[in-house]
Amino acid sequence: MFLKSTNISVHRTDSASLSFPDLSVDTGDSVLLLGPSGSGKTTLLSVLAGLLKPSEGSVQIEGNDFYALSSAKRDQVRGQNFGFVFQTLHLLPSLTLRQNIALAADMAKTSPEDRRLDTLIQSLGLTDKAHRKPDALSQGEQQRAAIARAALLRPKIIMADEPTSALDDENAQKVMDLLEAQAKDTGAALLIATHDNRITNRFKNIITLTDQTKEAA
Amino acid sequence: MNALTLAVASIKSRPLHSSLCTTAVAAGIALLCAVFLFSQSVAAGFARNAQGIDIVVGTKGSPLQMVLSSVYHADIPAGNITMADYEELKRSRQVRQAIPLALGDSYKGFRMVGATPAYLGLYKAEFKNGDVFSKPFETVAGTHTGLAVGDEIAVTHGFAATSDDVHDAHLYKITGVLKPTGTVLDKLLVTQVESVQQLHAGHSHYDHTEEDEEKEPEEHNHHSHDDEHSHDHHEDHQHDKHDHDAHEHDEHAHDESEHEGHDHEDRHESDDDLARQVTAVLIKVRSPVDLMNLPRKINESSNVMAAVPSYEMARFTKSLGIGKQLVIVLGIGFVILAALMLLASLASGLSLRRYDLAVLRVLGAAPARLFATVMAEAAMISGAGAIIGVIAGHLIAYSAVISIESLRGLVLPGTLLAPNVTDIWFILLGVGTGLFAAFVPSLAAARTDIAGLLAKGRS
Repeated sequence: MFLKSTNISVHRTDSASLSFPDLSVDTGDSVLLLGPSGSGKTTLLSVLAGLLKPSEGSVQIEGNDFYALSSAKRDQVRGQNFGFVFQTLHLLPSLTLRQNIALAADMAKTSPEDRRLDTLIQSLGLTDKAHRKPDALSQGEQQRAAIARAALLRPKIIMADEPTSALDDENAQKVMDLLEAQAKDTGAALLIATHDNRITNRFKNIITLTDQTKEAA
Repeated sequence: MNALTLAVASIKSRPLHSSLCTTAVAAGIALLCAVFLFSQSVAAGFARNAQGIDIVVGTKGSPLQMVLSSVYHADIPAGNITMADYEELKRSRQVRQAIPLALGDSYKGFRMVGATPAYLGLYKAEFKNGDVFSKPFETVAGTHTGLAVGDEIAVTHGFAATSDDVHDAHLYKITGVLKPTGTVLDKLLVTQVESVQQLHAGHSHYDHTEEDEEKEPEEHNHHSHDDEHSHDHHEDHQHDKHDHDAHEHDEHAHDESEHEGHDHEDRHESDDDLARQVTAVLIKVRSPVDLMNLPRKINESSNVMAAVPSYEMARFTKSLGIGKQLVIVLGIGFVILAALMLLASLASGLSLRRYDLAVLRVLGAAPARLFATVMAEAAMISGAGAIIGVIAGHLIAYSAVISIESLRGLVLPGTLLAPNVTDIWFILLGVGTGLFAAFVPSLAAARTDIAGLLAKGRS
């Protein structure tokens, strides 16, 4: 089992405490984390990715307690094993498309396989745009670049936070196709957090979160 | 890609902010650097020109004026002392070397200095061409005069290049041209002290009938220089001897100031006396103790005045110090302003880039790396500013020195363009200020609450 969480709960000063169902994801799995906004999807992803220490419970990466590692070590493990796609794409405006994708390797202090960067850019049809800044790219091109960045280092898991909710039906399905293709290509697990019901039929493994802020209130 | 590349990208993405901050750092460093270089080279110039001159002795008056006129040739001498005074000084056991100076004439603005060959030795002068003077009216020319061996020149009265009051009774002949010394000697003409004395002694005879009151060099200086004390000196020592001075006044019946009245008297006594006068004596003492005692002894017991150039120049530069401090305060103000601008710029940049920084963390960057990225940005902006500032500082100091006429020969402008060890300190100061200003924003970047930011999403 690559990633496993047990009895996670997070107390935040500014909101009610959130507790989450247990979860386990292995490489090659596809898991959908479904829940309305306010159900703590992003918080759970942050905990699973080593960005937010849970108040209770544990996260295990390949059987080891993730939060027993030093924060620098967690950063390193995350950089090398996790790929991220955000709802708002978070490409750095000051860097070119190619630099944005390469950033995944730079920040993880590792280098991608030979020619991996170029073949990835080529396979996503972005070769012509490689030296443009994000401002000069279409929404779809930016989306593809963000997915390329997540897949560059052949991570063990690709996490996507609301990758489709801002898109129309057609583009939502395209993005899902692309995410699934990249996960399959790299052998990564796919963990999608969304409230977008249009993509639920693609998943067999669905974990439902409820809006806990309302319950608490 | 590392912290530097990210910092460069960030700087490029905000060209206006970045260039304004760079300019502010550069302005502060340039002011500080220019003031430093300027005062350093002026002080070095003062010291270089006073080397081997422990004490200056001249007529009673302003010690500073005496030092400026006879050591730096930057002011007008107040009057003369007698050869007897000089000879008495020379005989003193405390005096190792006494060089007489006779001033008053110039050639195209270059001062003619009557002295002894030892005067050239003070500045370790070497000959480019020719040799030292050995007969009256033979002259050695400083490198800036543009004269060549064999040239014959007629000097004019006073020190202005435009003077048309020419001594054409005797021509000076150039027997030697000096190599550059980096001192005031470069713009001087040096001859035997006897040449100047003879010229004026002869001149005054020959001039009397012409009723020209302004031919005596030192008296001429009085006209252009309002100098009360030297005036007094003349009264003390000369009026008494000449009972006919009132008479002289009446007879000439000129509408003249008192100064000019005295010229008459001097004229009459001067037939012999001017040939027996020098303007100043440059003294090197035998021991440091003599440097303490001799000036006091001279000032207490005789009718001449002694001044210590290093002491007078220290006082002089101290009185200039207020202006210097003002510029330093201004420079420090600029540097502080630059630090605040940088702080504001980085802070506003960070609030724009919070999500970018969060992304970097998610991609695996440790907080220390974000800290380094922001610090690198500040270091580059302030480093560029500091380097530009240091270069500008050199140029400002250089143009200040070449535009101030009286510093010519005193200060070597070329040295102001050469790199200085202190440049490194100014660059470090600039970068240090930048890093100091960037510390808090960098810390904020490192402490970005990623989970919180991601949960909120980009607005």
